[in-house]
Amino acid sequence: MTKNVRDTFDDIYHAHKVLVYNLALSYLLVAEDAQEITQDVFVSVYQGLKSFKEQSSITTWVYRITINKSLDFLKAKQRKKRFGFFTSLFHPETNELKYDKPTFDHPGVQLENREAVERIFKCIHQLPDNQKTALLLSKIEDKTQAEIAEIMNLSAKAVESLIQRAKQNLSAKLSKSEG
Amino acid sequence: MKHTPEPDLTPLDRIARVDAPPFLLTRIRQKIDESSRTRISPTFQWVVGIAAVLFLALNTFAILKVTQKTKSTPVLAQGMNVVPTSFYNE
Repeated sequence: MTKNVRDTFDDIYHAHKVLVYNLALSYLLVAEDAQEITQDVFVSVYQGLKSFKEQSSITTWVYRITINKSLDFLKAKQRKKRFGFFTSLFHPETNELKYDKPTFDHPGVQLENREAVERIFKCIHQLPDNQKTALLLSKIEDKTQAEIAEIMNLSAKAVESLIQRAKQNLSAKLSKSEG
Repeated sequence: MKHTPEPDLTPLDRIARVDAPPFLLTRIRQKIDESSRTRISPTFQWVVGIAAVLFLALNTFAILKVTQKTKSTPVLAQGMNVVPTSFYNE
């Protein structure tokens, strides 16, 4: 790393590390996976730093990388699960689970709140990718519709309708999961 | 239009922002160093590309030359009267 690039990168890292880690946590719900994505995001940021054309702000760019990386990670995880029958999940002798990875390990969620948050997140994750992203940016990241529109490269009107549809679908999924 | 009730998302408001673990930066720097070490330089990519194009061009040229030669061989042989094509006809 040259000194100048390194300094710029360090500044970007310190300004965005919390944002990236927390957004990755909202998508992946597991601290270990969020750490992996955070690393990948900043490696991509470093590699793209020279070719970054300031058409959008650095923060918007970092948001986009994080969202894309998280969605790709989720897709890869889903694919792995689908082809999971190729490898046994259990020890042949003891019949115990080989991989007992938690599906919800969010360090920002308090114990008394955990069950409710986990249920909501599981329903959010059943939504289509764009609805999920719009809802997470609005509810967790507290972004305005204009900011979400810039991050998602959509019009404000489209974002409004995405959030509306996301809330409707989420409502249906939550009442289904309750009943 | 059917009215759907707003979902209760208040538990999400109580999620605290957490700081990224301090060891992440070291790991990121390590990954960046590793990727820059394994990455092929653009100069090398250009050199390999030009060499491949030259190789293909030379091969095409050689093949064309050989086919041209084989086509012109009977004509040349006839001109030099090496092939007695009219021998059996006489």
